[in-house]
Amino acid sequence: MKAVLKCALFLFLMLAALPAEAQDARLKIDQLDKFSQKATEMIDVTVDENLLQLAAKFLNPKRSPEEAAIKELISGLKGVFVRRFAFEREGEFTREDVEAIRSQLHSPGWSRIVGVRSRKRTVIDVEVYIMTEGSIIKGLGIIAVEPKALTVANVVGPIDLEKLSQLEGKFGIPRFDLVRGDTPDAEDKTKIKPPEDK
Amino acid sequence: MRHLDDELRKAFGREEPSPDFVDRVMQRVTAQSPTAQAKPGWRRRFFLMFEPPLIRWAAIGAAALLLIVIGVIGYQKSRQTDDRQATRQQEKTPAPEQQEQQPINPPEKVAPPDKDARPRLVNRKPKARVNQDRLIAAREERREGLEAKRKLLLALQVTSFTLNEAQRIVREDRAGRE
Repeated sequence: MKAVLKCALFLFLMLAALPAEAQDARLKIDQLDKFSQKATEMIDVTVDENLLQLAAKFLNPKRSPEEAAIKELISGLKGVFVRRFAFEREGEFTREDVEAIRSQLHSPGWSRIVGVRSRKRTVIDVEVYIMTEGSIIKGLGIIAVEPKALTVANVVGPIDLEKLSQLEGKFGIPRFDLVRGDTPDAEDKTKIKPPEDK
Repeated sequence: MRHLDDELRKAFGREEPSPDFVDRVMQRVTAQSPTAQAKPGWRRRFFLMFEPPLIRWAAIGAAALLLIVIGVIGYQKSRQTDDRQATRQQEKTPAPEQQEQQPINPPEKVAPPDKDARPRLVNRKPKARVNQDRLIAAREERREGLEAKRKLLLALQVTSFTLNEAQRIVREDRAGRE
């Protein structure tokens, strides 16, 4: 009788562990790679756990407070994945392309914290999703849809959003620049100069 | 008194030795003389050197062991020093990107080629080659690490920028309503 109970308990624990394993904050964004041919400007960054560990070795907290902040921010992270495609014309990507990403963020565990649309400078829809476990953020998913650009960012692992938002423009990245238009009537000037080698 | 005189005279009086006295003395002298003893040959003396007492062997063994220990420690220290030098050299060596950015020396400032460089390269020991391989591997790892860092910073910057963009829109929306 005891053996049967032990087996039942073991099976129950195994089944209970399955959803937890399934609740991974990693999004499938590889389907966006088809835009790499059409896009005039592209950012395709995949930093998995191994690369994160390697990069962390080259972040010296004594060198600068920014590096210290980044090292602290990425400790415990399992991956950072970013895709951004900017096109010459509108309509290069469809609603279905965006929906394929969004549907993953509607699965259990994810919750939308921001969903905004701005028409002031240019039409831009930004949605921010987080996956939480208790009070800990386990993952972050961001979709930014512009008429001529699509950005998807996915952070897997515990992340401090406050610290992440403070990083913008604080570190000098070689051969990369973000230029944002501030005039109300300006066209989308959110241009990302890709690395020279691309 | 007279009796005493007689006794003294008798005591100090000359007495002739026995006829075989000289022969006996000479025999004894010959027997005790070191030159008269049978001298061992040089081979025997050579092998005798290797027949010391046990305690001497123990002392020799201990000395040998001590030498081995000192040698091993010295070798380890020299390896550590080599590693440190390699690491220092690696730290001093600029990354490939930095090397690209470094200005190239004008021709007149370039040092003349060292004539002894070739023989030195030829005579390099395997240890130096191992260090060189280690240095190349370390440089490669550094290059990959810097590339990973660059990618990470790029990813974080795009994520941070997009997140802040959402916050800016929210703020602008609120300000517009007010």
